This record gives sequence, C-alpha cells and structure tokens, in this order.
Amino acid sequence: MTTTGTETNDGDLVKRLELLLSSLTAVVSARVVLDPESGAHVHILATAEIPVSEVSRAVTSALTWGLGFEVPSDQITVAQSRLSREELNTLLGSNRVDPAPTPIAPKASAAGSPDLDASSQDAGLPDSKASVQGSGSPDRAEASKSETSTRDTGLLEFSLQKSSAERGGGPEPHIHRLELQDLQLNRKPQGGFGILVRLTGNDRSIGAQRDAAGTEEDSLEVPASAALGVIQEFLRSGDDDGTGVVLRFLAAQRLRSPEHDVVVVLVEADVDGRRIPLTGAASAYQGVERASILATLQATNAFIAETMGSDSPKGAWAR
Amino acid sequence: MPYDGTISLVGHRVRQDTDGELHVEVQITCEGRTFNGNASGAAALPDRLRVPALATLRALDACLRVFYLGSAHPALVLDGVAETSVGDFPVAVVMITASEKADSTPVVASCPLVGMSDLAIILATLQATTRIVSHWLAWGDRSLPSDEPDRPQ
Repeated sequence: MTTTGTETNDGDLVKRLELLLSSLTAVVSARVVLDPESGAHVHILATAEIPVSEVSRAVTSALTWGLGFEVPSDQITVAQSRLSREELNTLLGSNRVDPAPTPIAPKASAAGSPDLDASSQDAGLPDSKASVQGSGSPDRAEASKSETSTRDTGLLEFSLQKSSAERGGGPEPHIHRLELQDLQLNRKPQGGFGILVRLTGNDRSIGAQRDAAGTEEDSLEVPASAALGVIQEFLRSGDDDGTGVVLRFLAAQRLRSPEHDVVVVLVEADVDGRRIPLTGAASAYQGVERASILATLQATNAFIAETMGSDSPKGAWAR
Repeated sequence: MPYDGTISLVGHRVRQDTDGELHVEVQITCEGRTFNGNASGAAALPDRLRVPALATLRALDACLRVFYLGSAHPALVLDGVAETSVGDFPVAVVMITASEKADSTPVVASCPLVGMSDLAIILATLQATTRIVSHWLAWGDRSLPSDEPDRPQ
C-alpha cells in the first residue's frame, strides 16, 4: 500500500481520469494512482446495478478510447457493493470528494506497511491451516513493524465505522442493532414445536410466535422467518415516510464441517423495487433454531443500521 | 476498561501474478492506529477465497499484539472459507476458531458471492471476528460480563 505519489502534471491527468471514470454507469468512486515504478492503478467502487465484469470493461474502454490511457486489466480493481449510490455516498461521507493523491513516504520508510512483494516473502506463517497467533504478552516493538500511522494510503477507502474525529468531532451516531432477547422453544409430544422469538433494540422489544411441523427444514426456516417478521415490524415502526422496505426470507442451509456446524440464512431486502441479497451465518453449537435467528440478525443488522440511521428520515424509532 | 474503540476497514489491495499467485493486503484501523495484514495463495477458486480472509486475520493479529492486555494467547484460526449455494444463490461462509486460554469459540459469517469477492470476504471475516476481538481488547483475559447480550458476531 504504497503509491499515491504524483507530480503536479500528473495530478491534472489523475483528476481528469477520475472524473471520467466517476461518470460511468454504476461507478460511485474512482481513484487513480500513478506510480513511476509499477505504473497506473485504478480503484473503483461501484454499485451492483451491472455486473462487475461490465464495470471493468467500461473502465478499460473509457480510459483507452476516452483519454488514450492504457491500464492493464490486472491493475484495475473494482469493488462492488450491494448498497445504492446514495447509501455509499452517505457511508463514505456526503461531502467526500476524492482527494488528489498525496505524496507518500518511500516504501522503505513506510514501516510496517510492506508492499506486496515484501509480504509475499512472508513464508514463515503457516499456510495449510492458516493460524494467526496473538502474542499474549504484547511485544510492541515487534508489533510496530506491522503498524503505520494513519495516512492516505492510496487504497480504496471503505471505512465501516468512522471515528468521531473523522466525522468532524460530532457526537457518535447511534447504530441501531437488534439483539435476541428471548427464545422459547416448546417441543410438542405429538411432534412439531412452537417457537417464541423476542428481539430488542433501542429500548423496544417485539416478539413473534410460530408453530412448526418439526422437520429439519422447519428448524432452519421457521425461526428465521419469525425473526424476520419481528425485524420487519421494527422497520415498520420506524417508517415515517411510507417508503417500503420489505425483507423476505429466501432460504436457509445447514453447513457441517469437522470444526463447524453452521446455519446460513439468505434474505432479500426489497427497497423500492431494488432487490438486495443479504446473508448471515451463525454457529449451531447452541442449537439450530438459535443459530437460525442469529444468522438472520447478522444478515440484516448492517442493513437495518443503514436503513434506520439516526440521520435518515426513516430513522426515528418508535419508543 | 482499557479499550473503547472500533475496528474499521481502511482498505485492501489485491494483486495477481502472471503465475496465478494472488496477493492480498488488508489495512484496518483501531484506536487511531493502522495495522496491515498480508497473505498470498492460489488465485483459482476455491483456494482464492482463503487469501483475503487470511490477510484480514493477520491484520487483526497485529492489532491484538498492540492492544491486548493479558497473559493469555488469543488466536484466530481460519478453518476455511466454504463456497456454498443457499437457495441457488452463491454464498461464501468464513469459518474461524477464536481461542483464548483454554476457551475456543467458533465464529462464522457469510457474504453473497456477487462480483468481486475479495472485499466481501474481508468484510465477512471482520464481521465474524469483530465482536470477540473487541471483547478481548476490552477485557483482556478477564471473565466475560454475565449480562452480555445475545447477538450475532
């Protein structure tokens, strides 16, 4: 993660390239890095409205035919997000303008920020069953080798949670996340089960009850479906402007490996006709039904946090 | 409580050699400090899916080395990244074992395999581990508060 350096003349070219690329369909953000050693690198953040291969082709064509600027395809990185353009802009900061690349420290002095060639020589770490061990008694000197000060890295920036300083020192916005408050499972002597799911979030608590025939599919699908109904109720209660967000349960699957017993849930979010696939997974060591609910929460919580953000018109939660 | 921060992804970088070797670098930030993780491996599926997960775990390990306060040895072991179909939809499941002292906990997360999978795998790996890593950083090797809410990783 080294190269953002550019001379003034290159800066104009970079700006023109980024402007051109940002105008392409599905492209939300474009960053071009010109490195005298390794050539040009293009980082694209795009929505999912067209396949990533099409985005990549469009970028290549625009650079070649628009400005006569050729970049090898392996130097173009396209990251596709399931979020909309507006959501991505919000996530990245609405006033965010891709800054002109800034000069960086030389590779050798970027302590702990090895370039990839250096990292590929890192053969000392196990590869078969990849293990990452913490030191337990932190060796700060050694750790500092893999630490850098915060700076413009030239990377595609995709911060999940910005610090308060990055947000301009304002108060920390509350991230709405739902938690499993209660799960009651009543196995019936004649077969089947009844399930009570109660979720909590922002001082509210909503529950739902379902009955199931008791097949293995029921153990996966009924708890997820019940949880989704509750989540939908949370969404509905915070929906002030009537805009529809519909969450649909699509499928659930149990995945077993020697080390793991996992429930994977697939949910579809329908936001004004735009369908967004959401997935979540949870370990089944505390029961398949609980895992199914936790996987549903994992699938939807990030989406809920975005949809119900405190700054959003839909963010006012009924209390 | 010595730690009250969040772990955020700053960015990632992917490079593929002509010989089919994939190199992924992941950068995360925690408490205003930045940590890198690197991994290399086969660029072809299904092995490709492991590389971004491994790079992410290495970045988290670098973070733990600095901020973890305790005598235990926390570890995040990548058990695998499985590609599966859920309702005919391709999904990647990141499976990790998190251990501290004698305690081992399986942590998992999944992501749709749509378009570029590297970033999705990185995000899923962070999603799977953030909660337990945050707990380790906040509490060291002290015991878990009894009223810890039940929520996904």
